[in-house]
Amino acid sequence: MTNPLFITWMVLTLATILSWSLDVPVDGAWVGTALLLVAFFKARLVLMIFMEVRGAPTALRWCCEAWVITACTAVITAYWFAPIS
Amino acid sequence: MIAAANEPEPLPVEAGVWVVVLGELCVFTLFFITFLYYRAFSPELFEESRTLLSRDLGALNTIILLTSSWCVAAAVKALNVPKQRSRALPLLLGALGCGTAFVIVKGFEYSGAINAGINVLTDEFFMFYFMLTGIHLLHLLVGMGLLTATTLHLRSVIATNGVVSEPLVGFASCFWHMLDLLWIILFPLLYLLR
Amino acid sequence: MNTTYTRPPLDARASRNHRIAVWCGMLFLGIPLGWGILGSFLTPPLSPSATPQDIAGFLAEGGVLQKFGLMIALACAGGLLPMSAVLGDQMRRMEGARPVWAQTQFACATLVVWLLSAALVFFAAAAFRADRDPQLILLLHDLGWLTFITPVSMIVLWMTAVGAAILSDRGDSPVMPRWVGYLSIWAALLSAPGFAAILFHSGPFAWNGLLALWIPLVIFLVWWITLTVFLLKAISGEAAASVA
Repeated sequence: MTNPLFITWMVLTLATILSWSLDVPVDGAWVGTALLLVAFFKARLVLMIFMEVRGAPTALRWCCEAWVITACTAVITAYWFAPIS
Repeated sequence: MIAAANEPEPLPVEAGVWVVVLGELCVFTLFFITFLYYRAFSPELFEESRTLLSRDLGALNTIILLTSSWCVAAAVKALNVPKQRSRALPLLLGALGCGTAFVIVKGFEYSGAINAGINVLTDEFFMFYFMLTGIHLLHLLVGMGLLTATTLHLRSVIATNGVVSEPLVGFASCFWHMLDLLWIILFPLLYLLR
Repeated sequence: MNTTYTRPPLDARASRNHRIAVWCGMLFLGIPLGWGILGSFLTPPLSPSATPQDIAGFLAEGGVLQKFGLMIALACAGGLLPMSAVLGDQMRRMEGARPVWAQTQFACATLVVWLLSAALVFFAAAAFRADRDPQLILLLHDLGWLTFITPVSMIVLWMTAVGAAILSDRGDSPVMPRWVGYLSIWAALLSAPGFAAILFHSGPFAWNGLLALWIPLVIFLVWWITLTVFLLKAISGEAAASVA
């Protein structure tokens, strides 16, 4: 039960269910942003745990973190060009 | 920061694999931004078309891939411990089973859309939907090929008590996780974003 | 290990020929420069949804300079072949006896050169007579672009064969660094979506789009230049080993 892989899978699955069930008729822009943040959080988790980047050489870790941050920012920025309320 | 002292070292993944993984991540990010750029010009159309997608099947596929990734990661861990090597085989078969399930669910989705008269040329949203999920699917088939090659290789290695090919295992597993990662972002981007 | 495969040594004369052949590969640049820039076909490319009048106008304006650009591109296309021959030779080193990817790769190169030339000839035919019926010009222009962008099979197979050979190199000192093999695989994956250009008259997947034209073009150049650098290194390495 404390197997790190199982915990990771559980967190990822719960986050997926959370995103899937989020049908809040609130200001759509923030919901969308939250969904994207959750998505990149999940992506980072896959990188760090499943792909073992957490224990990898610093240079690689930096590249991966840089991608997560840059991609997340870029995608959310692009989303904000026209979110629907 | 690394695993506890008595946990085995992670299987080394060749540096070159990251050329593929980071490269694909960057290019797919370009795809994501392109999608959002086009969306900005006709958000109502995109939203209307989006509601025609099945978020249930999309979520199901996400969980299927997450499970398959878990299987692959567990298989790689098992390979690090000599006595547990044979555990890797059923885990890899599980991953392949999940991959097949993903393809079947995708098939349902696509045929559902086509039966409703929707195809890749219907509107811009569906162009992106079919093209992005289609390209992802093609990559997934490549990934399944790599996993199959790994499974066959491991079966003979375990039977003959030989040496595992680390490059093959490393590439196949990393590529598979990358597919999972890409879908994790594609799912909300296409199915959920309003 | 390829212990049963003996290879004739690379003497100074052969090594010089190999180097010349590799540099011939740089002639490939004549295509984007000649057709794309001088010929204005890439600055910017006409969309599949351009009207026949737009295209006829574009070609009429192009004049002699455009035709020169096409001539340069047609003259340079063959440069890929000698480089591909050297690539095949070094891939034989990687694969050992009974090489298959080396042969496949050379066949792919030949077909790619033929397809590129066919595309250039279609563009040349479109530019050949200014007073042609615009619908016919449209047809020739379509043929040019579709020939250039959509037959991805050859390129994908080419890059995959090279990658497969590099990654299966089990020698003591690999002919090329393994990341070049992975780069080839990535290039193959990125070059594949081009065939979808058949579907679209606009957008990023059309023949003038980001994903069907620009990404495959850039990735091909990156791959080609990387191979040039590492082929030259492989030749030097083999020549030095032959002297020793």
